[in-house]
Amino acid sequence: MSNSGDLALMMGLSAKNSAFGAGASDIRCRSGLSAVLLRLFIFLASFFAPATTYAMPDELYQGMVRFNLDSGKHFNALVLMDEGYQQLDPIGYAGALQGFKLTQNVDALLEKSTQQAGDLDEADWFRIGKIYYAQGQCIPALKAFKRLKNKLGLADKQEWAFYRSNCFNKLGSNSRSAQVLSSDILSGLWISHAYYNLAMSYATSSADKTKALVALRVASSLNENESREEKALNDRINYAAGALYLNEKKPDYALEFFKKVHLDSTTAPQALYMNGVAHLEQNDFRAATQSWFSVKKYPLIHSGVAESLLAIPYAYERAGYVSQALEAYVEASTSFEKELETVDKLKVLINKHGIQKVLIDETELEGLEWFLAKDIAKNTRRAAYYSYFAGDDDIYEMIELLLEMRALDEGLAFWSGQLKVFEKALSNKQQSFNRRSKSFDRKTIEREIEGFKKRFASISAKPAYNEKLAAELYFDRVPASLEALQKRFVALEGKIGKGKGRIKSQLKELHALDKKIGAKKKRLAAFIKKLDEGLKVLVLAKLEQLRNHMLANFERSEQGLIHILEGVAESSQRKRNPLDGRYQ
Amino acid sequence: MEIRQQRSAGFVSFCLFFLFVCFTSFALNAAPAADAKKASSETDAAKAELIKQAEALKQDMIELNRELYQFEEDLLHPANTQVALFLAIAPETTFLLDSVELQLDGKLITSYLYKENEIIALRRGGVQRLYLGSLSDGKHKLTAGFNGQGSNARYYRRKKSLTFMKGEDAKFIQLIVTEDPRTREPLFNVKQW
Repeated sequence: MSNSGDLALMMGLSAKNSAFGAGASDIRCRSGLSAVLLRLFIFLASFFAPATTYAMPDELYQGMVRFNLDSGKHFNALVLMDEGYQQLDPIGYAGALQGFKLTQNVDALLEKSTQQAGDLDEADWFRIGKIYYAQGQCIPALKAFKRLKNKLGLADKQEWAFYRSNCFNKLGSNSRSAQVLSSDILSGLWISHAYYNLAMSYATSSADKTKALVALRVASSLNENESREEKALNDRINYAAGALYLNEKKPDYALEFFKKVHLDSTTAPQALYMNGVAHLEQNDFRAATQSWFSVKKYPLIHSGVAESLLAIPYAYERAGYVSQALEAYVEASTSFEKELETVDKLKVLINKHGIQKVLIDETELEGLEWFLAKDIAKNTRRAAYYSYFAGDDDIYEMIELLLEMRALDEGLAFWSGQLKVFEKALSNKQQSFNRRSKSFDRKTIEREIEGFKKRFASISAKPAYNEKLAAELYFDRVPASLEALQKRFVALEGKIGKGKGRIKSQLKELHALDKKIGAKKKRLAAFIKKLDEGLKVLVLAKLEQLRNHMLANFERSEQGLIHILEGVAESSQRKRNPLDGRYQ
Repeated sequence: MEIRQQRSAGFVSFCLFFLFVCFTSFALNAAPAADAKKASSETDAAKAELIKQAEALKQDMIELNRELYQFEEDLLHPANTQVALFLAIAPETTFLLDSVELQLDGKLITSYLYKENEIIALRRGGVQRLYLGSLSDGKHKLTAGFNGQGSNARYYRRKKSLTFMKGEDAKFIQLIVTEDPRTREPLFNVKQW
């Protein structure tokens, strides 16, 4: 409990003290001056506060780090972690490093932690396993997870089973993976994902797709299909199941699954195309073309859309609608040509302005307005191009790194602004310090305090004064408060002499930090430029790939057109003896 | 015998021809494969170099940010005027915290809307610093408003007030969300450090 605080309280309570008679009104009169003195005291005292590193109770500090760690704010956690914490919780430190993709020391930290196996509890092993898993090291991850059998709560167990199952898939043991997931108590999104992954693993590793289809069925049954994530997974499950059935020459089963894919999902264009293929397998040309027509509203960059554009005239042709087939081929050719133009435009602009300006920044570039137009719809061309680029692992990683670096750069810009504000405030303080410190008159203050002491003595000597009332009004604390205040003012006087120096040193520290920010900004800018260049190469290569694909589609469409025109030309000619030409 | 020799010579020449074809095709295939391998290893090396540079930059940024936060804290909230408000959730608490609003001496100082992963982090023993500021010595009133869903799917909106004394040392106040073990009603406790 603070004594000087009690003094301030006393000043505020002066009206209530009227019960004590004349003395109280004197206090009231003096309270204005004392409040000014108090403000001056706070102003000056703030310069002499000890500079401490996270001077808070350990429990709070460690909890703060844990909160940032567990909620995925790895950068904040690393900034908060001092050396002591890093040694106290090497697993947490390794987790934060891994989360912020500073992976150099992670293995060493984990190895060191696992050597002290006796000191580790279940939560620690779980964290170790997860870090190894994120590092892509399945064997040590499985070793860590093995120590947790039957020692986890139900919620954590779902996650635990997911990681283990995925690890076994990666290591090529689908049966072990299935064994992990076989427990009755496992359910929910984690397990649904795990079964989906197992199904994909079965589908790629075995010619018999029955196991994959069973795994997909289980994945679907465990999925509640309510949240956004659950719906997205369910779409993928349905699409995969449909594709597998179609592959197994069971179009009727396949259709049941394709129908369930939501139209706003990322797999919708492909699912609609495959739906058409399944109808075609059943010789239902009308239904097939209907399905492919509905794909046309999606951007052409989706392979399903391109295939649909080519499939429509093919189906018409097979159904005997030659003129519709011709029209459809012309439409397809035009679409492919337009997309080729888009790709070329993008290539030119990326070459000229770089990746950031074209794909990330919100700028208005001539010839790219349509591309940069903001839209809340997910199926815009821009979004489709983004997901096309993100499908490439290298581009994805580089973009992620670029965005991280840009976020760090924005952080520095924020601090730079803050330092400017602090500099102005400190400069103002420096100017007003002399005036304020001159107004600090120890003798007057001591006289004031003595006056308060006398007044307190006279009030406490009044017959109306009693201890109960004094305690209720915190009046009993006044002597101690005054004593403390006196001591603090005496100590403050000695420190005021150093005040100017303190502001000066703070300004010096500020300038040093500003300089560091400037240097880091330069390094970051150079690195971001380098990343942009690297990304440019990758994205241009990807666009070239897309261009080739579009060109191939265009050629297929043109060939189809020529084929039909040849057929039409031949059919319109007079019938000749096929052997006529031989003897001419 | 002659025929046999001829056959054997033919077989040898066939073998030689086959070996030649194999070698040539291997050499022809090996050249682009080696090129591709070289290009791939060059890309990997460039990528590794980029990652190394990024890691060095990130490490520097952590240290710089640490210094900057420390400087800001020392400058704006020195220990003798500092007040920090924290929030924690007791383990096994089923109450789903949606948001918190804090008022200090009648003024709204902060409000926070929680994400799922933050609630999980708090339940695992994390402590969130909701507010860091400066206060003059003396008596102050803190009012915290909690909104969330209880175990019985009932929506709760509760307020908790606390009068505290700020002294010459930094003041740390921790709000703890817990619940009655029998009724499962949410409880909001305050711990002053």
